[in-house]
Amino acid sequence: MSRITPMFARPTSLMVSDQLLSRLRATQRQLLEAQVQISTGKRYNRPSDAPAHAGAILFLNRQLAVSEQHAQNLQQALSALNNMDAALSEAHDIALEAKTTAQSQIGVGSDAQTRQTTSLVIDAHIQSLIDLANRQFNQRPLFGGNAGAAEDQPIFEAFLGGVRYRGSRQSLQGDTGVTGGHLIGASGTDVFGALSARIESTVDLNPLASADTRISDLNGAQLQGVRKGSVRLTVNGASADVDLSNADTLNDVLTRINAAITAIDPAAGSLAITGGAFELTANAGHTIAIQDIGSGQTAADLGITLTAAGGVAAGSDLNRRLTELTRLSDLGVAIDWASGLYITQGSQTQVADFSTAQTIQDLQNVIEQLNLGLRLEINEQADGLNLVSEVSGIRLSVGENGGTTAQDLGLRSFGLDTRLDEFRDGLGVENIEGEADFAVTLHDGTTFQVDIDGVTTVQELITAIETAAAGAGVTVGVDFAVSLASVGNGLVFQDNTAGAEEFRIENVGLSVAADHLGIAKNVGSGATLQGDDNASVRVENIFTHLIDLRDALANNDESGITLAGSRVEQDLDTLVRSRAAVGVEAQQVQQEQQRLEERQLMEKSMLSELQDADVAEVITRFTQLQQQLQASLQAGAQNLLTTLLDYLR
Amino acid sequence: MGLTGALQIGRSGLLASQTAIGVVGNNLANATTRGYHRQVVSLAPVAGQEIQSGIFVGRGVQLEAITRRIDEALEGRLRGAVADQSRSLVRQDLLAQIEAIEGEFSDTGLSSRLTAFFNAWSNLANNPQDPSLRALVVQEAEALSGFIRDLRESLVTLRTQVDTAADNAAATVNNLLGQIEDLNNRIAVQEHGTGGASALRDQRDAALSELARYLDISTVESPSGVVDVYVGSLPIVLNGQSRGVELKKTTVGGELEAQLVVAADGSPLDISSGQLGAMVQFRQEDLAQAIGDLDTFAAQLIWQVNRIHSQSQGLQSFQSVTGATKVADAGAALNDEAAGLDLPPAHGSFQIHVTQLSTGQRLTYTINVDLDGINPAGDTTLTSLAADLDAISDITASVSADGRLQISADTNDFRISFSDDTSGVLASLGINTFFTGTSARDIGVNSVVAQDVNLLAAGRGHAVGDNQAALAIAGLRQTGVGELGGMSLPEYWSRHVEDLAAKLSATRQQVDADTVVFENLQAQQQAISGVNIDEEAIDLVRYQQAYQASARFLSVVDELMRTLLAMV
Repeated sequence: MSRITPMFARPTSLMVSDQLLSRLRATQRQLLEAQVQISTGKRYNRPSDAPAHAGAILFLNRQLAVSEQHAQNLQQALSALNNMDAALSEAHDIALEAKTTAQSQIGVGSDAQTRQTTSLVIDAHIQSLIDLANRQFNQRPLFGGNAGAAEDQPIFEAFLGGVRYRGSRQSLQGDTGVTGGHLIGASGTDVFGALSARIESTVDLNPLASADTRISDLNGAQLQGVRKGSVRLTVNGASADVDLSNADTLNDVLTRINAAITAIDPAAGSLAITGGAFELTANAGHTIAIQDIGSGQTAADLGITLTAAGGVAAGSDLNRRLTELTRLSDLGVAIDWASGLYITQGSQTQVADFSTAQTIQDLQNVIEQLNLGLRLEINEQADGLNLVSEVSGIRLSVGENGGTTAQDLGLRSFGLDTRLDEFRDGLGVENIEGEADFAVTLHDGTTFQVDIDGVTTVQELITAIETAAAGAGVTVGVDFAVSLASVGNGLVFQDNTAGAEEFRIENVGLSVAADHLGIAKNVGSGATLQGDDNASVRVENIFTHLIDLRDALANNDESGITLAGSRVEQDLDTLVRSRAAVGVEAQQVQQEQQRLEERQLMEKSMLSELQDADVAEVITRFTQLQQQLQASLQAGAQNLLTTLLDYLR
Repeated sequence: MGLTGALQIGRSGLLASQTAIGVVGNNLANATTRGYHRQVVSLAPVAGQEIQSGIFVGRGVQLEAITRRIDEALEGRLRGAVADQSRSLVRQDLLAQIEAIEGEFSDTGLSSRLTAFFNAWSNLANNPQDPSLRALVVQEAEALSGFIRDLRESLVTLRTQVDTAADNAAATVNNLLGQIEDLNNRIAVQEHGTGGASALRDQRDAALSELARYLDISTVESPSGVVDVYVGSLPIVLNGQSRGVELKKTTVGGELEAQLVVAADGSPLDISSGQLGAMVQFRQEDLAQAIGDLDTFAAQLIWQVNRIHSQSQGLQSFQSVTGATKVADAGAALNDEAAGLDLPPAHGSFQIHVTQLSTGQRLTYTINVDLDGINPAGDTTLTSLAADLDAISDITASVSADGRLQISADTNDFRISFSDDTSGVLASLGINTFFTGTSARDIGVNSVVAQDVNLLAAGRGHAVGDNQAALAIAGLRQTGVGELGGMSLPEYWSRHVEDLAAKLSATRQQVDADTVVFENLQAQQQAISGVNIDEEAIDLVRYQQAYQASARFLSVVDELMRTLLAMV
């Protein structure tokens, strides 16, 4: 900084030398600053050089470093997506080849031997597809979601004759600077449909809140969660604000509010939890009220905006969410825990015994321990359970084990609510419009025909059968009964009549409904006709359909080949959609890369504007300062050297 | 008047001129002596002799006085300016040292290392199972924590250096006070109240000016010529005698605090200026703030990262885990001061998971942490927490002899992991934490994680390929922290750097302003008290001519006397 030299009438020798020294120092300091700016190319080399810009420079430096990392992450994401695209492209080729193979094996152009041989080709395709699905990028599975890689356990593997998906539903997102990130690991469920979806309970298990329920596990009385804050308590006209902001459980709410009530009037009453909701009790002669403060919603969310005057005021349902730790005893519906589930997965049948389970997690562990490739998941609404199969290519049947567990939990694959169009892997039950579909003949010779026009569910089917039986003069429930199997699945017909006629069910006319329902059977003199489970569940995806195709080829089943071929064709669409989704994601990543580059350019430009030295200006200044220094030295030297003494002789 | 009288007149002229030339010579000799005040000769005619009634004739010249050219008020203001300039110069140098230590605007500053640390987590999120990326996170964290520790150590070293410098400055002040006391005595003896001991006064003024570099002083001179020196309203030289100063250090809240006091009675001196003022203020305010900001930053870095890490999972779970933090009193509520936790937990809960390796079965338990202060007897202590954990099947929990929580699986078939900690007790006790320590002094990477990167918790939901924790930790660079006034960690540090920069820049401006004031006052002082060689040369010529004239006069008188004597 240049300074104006003070001028006085009487300059002295010391003053002259001091001021010369001061000026020289100032000029030399400015020269040094200019020299540093030239050598570093930066105008500001320390924060204190530009306190007004220090924050902006630090911010921009930080942003650039973060952007650089995001650019790397985006490149990683793009590489992963390109790998996914390549894998899906190959999967598409395999599916296309399989479809073409299926088409070539239909009709007289092939024979059993050829089909047998071709089935081996399809088997190789299945193996190739498994390998593709297990493909990794950077030693990370592309289609395992966030499950990760394990040396001894691939994401997709042969299991119980099918293909098991051990991955996660949750995809993996990278840190790319955008909300939600970008996909770097897809879930096999999203890409291949690797998990079954049908056994989704519609039963609301209605978990009831209790004292130890976490507030975070509540949907709240207004279904908006619980917004924690303070509430105002009024006891007999005296008010106090109760802070519930750090309450963790409902017990904390009780403790705090009851302490506040006691502090005002120990005899006034109390708050309790009963039947999943709060209950405010004011003793005789007392009035207690709880309300929100201002625009607070805590009391409303907790359902305790209540006033009790000498009595009890019940709070609203807290809508507790189902969690892994929810105790079975807290469920608001009656469940038969003693019987368990009768589960058939492919060729294996096991009973899931829930009799000792205490929590939802215990139920999940029981299912896990069956090792059937099943998952018991809490549904999205967090009020029920879904049983999910991880294994493609085999069938899953969930029935009763002599009780009502499956029905109570809404997990029965062949239940009263099961729709007929879900039978036979979704092909449904065909019927002939306007005509009877099947006939039931009892031992006593009574025959009645059942028309399933308009029948959509198993319950309606049973009703239709019972109506037809009654119409034929049969006493339903006495002579004849139809119900769901008490163990396993399927319809069970009971003929209590006497006679020589064989107890049987047959298709009528051109209808194949009895076949499709799995009840076209003749048990002769037997009294019980056990129908097949034609409503079993399986994972509908490319693996399942290739396995279908392979088996149909091996069995020389032309209709099966046709059906499997058409389903593989549908899978081609699925793969195209998955590939398109990956493509869209890749495009978004590329767009983000472009945006990031532009942002980086802008940030670099701003940083340069702020911090970089104008080299031409600095060099000019440096030259000026050099001249200034030279002039100061010369003038100072001359001034100091000349005195009157030089002229005295 | 006779010729003899004329000789006396000539003699007086010679003597006066000689003396005046001597003074001019002395002025010329001290032309560059700092602190020297120009001396001026005052000559006066000797009272005349009455030779006839009412007629007087002069008897020559006499030396009336040799005086210093000095403006005492200006000298006082100059000493104040010296004190202010010294203060701002020292403060500028010391603040610049902090700035240099922190090294921002370079690739080696804390900001750069913090960015590298968060980038390592961001990179890990790309492939959470990659051991090299896990190792990189640990390396960056060790580099960051090492840098933070070194930074604090450097600041503490700077404080020690300032303490030493302040001690030396106090010793110098005492030395100067001793000199002033000595000079006071000598001036009083020499002058007897006449004020003529110019050289001693110059020495005392120089000592006072030197003293003003350390303290903002004021002086009061007594009729005897003795000066008393004050700092504010407290005398450090009283009745001409030094009372001494002392830099007193006391420990307050574990930190050493320094205060300048009068040695004689321990009265605290309010020193707002001078080098000592700058040092004490720098030490007590600027440096304390720099260290405090760094400690706050480090504490929140530790806490925020540990809060996420402690409730997340690594590629492996623990067979046994011991808390990294000691609890002073295992029977005290964990948020009570007696527990001695610098980062105490809050009321809440956490989940502990026990996984059986042979079956894959995982059981989850919720542990309540009751710290709401309602019914204090029920508040969670380390002992009660250990008991709650010990009640869980297949694991054992206890409190170690040195006050740490220990949790271990009963057999090698079980593993332990943690999640959903709303209380922060896991982070507080150092269970499954990433960082250890509570401040910049002791921040470090948990050796458990450093030795086995598989325990680095990058994911949640017990999915080994999950990256939610890594994303959450990487996201801390943008997440506002309540304890930091809603700023994120990088923003907080950036704010500290900005504050320091503004402070240093303002101090630089203050240096310039103080220098201008000092130079102006110094120029004024020089204008009055400085030596101008040309001016002295003129005086020299003037007195030389007077001397020559007197000599000539004596020569004339001598000739007159010779003429007179020749008549005899």
